[in-house]
Amino acid sequence: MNFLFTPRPGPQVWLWVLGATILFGALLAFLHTLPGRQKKLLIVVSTFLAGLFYFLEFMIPTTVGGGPEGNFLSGGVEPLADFVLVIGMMALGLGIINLARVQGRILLRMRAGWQNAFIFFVGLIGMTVIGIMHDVYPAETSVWTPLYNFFFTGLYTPLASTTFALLAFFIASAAFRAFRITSVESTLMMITAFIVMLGTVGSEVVTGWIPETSPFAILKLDNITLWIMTTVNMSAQRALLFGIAMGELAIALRVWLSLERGHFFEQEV
Amino acid sequence: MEHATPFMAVVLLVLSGIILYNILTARGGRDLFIRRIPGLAAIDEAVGRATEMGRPLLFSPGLFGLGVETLQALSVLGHIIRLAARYNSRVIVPVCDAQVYPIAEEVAREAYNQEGRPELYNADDIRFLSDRQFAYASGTVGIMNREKVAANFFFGGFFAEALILAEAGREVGAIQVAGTPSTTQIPFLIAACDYTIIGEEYYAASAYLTRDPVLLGSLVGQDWSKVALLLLIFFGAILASLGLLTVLHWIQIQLGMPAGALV
Amino acid sequence: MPITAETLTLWAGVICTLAIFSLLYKENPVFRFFEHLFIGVATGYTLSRAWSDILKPKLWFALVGSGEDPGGRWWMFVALLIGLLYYAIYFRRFAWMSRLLIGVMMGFAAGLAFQGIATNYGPQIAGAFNPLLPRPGMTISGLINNWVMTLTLIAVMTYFFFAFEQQNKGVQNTAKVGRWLLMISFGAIFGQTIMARMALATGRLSFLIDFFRDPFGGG
Repeated sequence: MNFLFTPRPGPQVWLWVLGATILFGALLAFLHTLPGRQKKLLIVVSTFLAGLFYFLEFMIPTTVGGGPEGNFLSGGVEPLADFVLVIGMMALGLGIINLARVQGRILLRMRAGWQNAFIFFVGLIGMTVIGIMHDVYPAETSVWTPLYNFFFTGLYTPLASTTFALLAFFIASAAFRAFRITSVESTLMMITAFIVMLGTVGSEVVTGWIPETSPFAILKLDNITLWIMTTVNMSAQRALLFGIAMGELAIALRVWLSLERGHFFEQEV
Repeated sequence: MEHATPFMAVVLLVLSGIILYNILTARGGRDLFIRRIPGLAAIDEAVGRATEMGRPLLFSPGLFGLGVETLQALSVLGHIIRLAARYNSRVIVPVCDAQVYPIAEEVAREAYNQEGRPELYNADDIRFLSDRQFAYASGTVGIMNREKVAANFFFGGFFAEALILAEAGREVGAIQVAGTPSTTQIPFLIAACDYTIIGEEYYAASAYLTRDPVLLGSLVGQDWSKVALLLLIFFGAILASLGLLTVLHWIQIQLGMPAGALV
Repeated sequence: MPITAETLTLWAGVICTLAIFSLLYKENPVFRFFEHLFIGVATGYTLSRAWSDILKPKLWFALVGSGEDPGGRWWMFVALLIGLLYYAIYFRRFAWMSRLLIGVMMGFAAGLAFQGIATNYGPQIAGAFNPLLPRPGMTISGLINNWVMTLTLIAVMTYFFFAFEQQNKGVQNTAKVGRWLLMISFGAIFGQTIMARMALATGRLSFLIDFFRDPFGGG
């Protein structure tokens, strides 16, 4: 193990890379010859082992064969995370191919909306190239800096923050609509929303005249809001979370142990 | 919590054991009951309406990356595609996370195959849009408008963009069904969607829709594990009521409560 | 007034802001154009970050080294090879390879869930241990609040029982009250969020107002 995972700096790293590639290819070629049922078993076992690593790493007490920070598996967490990150980046390529295929077809065939497909590619290629070049030449005086500012500060940031800001209008229309529904549930929700909103920003205006020392001080909107948030809201959310936790636990177990039949990968491989 | 404390490990193992036991016994063919979940019953209606109108459906699996929340969303996606395939309807799936994208593609392909309609699968309908929250939102809004979708399904983990999607969907007149474990987004989905399934109903969805024994057994197990949790909470409440603070605080710390929050 | 790179950047920001806001009137060709630009730029940004935050430090530098780090960690290249298995999805004969990788990734997600559940929900369980009898130093209102919290918890959890037939009237009513309490809780979240969302819009609007006061940024 130690021999294998010793860094090989300098040109020899490429020999190791070549060797690993050949071995990896040979392993895949061998696995490819397995019958479908065994490939399926391989997938089930690999899924289980992948889950087992994180399961054991979390469950085994830190005193078992590790340093002060973790158990004998904990040392593997960070390298594995890096490894998985790099693997994940390859999936990004898959997504980009899909995007480029959909938009590229519109552009090449000059279908309706080809201008949109064109500007998509301008944005994609422009931001990718400029982003990478700005990373390579980050100096203020570099020609890439104003270009990066234009793409990031001039385009990306305002597009993102304005889309976010649309929520102000959407939340108003959603609230307006919810207020008009006359069911018990909707009424309860919107009356509470109204109280909490006023309690958060307008308590002084509405109930500021009630003295703090008066026995009616509990009727001040900020006090009612605080009470709702710390009792009913907290407890209801807690109960909601407990249900979600059990749902998460159940699906984690089903996926880990490949018990979820018919939903993911049932068909022959 | 970096590593499970001994008490937490026992809690997790007991809860897992309860769920697994019920899954395994359900596979033996026990007759299982599940209560009605109105939002899920509406899925058939939404697919039917899209079919009548001859317009596509849109399914967003949320913005969470590859995790159990999204895997549940994809499980519901499989069901909706199978339903749509029976009616010859198209399902468009905008995806936000690159690692979720290939899984969504596989789930879609397999669902069409299971219905004996592999020719309906169109790789361009499973679309990677962007892994940036608001770019994804604006792209999805664009698809809703251009494709004139008749029904929207929002199943998965969402952040603030949930309301952008749901309000834009309402604008195009789509019937909307949402389900999410993101508790802070549920109120907005309730306000903007026709049907919203909340909290754990989200995790009950696949059992409810498929009536698969494993999933039903899992759901029964979830119910029993909640009973176990309630018993633990009662036990804690009794300790607190009797003032047995040493034991109480030990359990609370084992459960991950910060020492400063102990009362 | 000279047109500088800063002015152009500012103008671009204003045009983008107006284009996205135009959706509030209705979906239109201008919005569509900028929506596509947005997806392009956002994906380009992701790609450039993928290089500078992940591929460069964790793959390239791991192989060839940088500064103090001599590199030579050849196994990181294996991650790239494994990642390439995703592309087997395009070839039906080899699609099992992508499924193998997807299975492993799903296994990781499932395995990690246990830690997530313990970390996210453990303290919540501990927080639900409320004394239900008077204790020294506890006020009457504190005791009432504890009862309200515990009863709310039970009612809402009752609503989330799926597999037990709720034939008993008492159970049915408890579940119904549980749903009402949930709605109150959702209302509280709604009310808390409204003002934060309004602040977003005022932020963008003041950006526009500032621009129209001084379009060339000359002060």
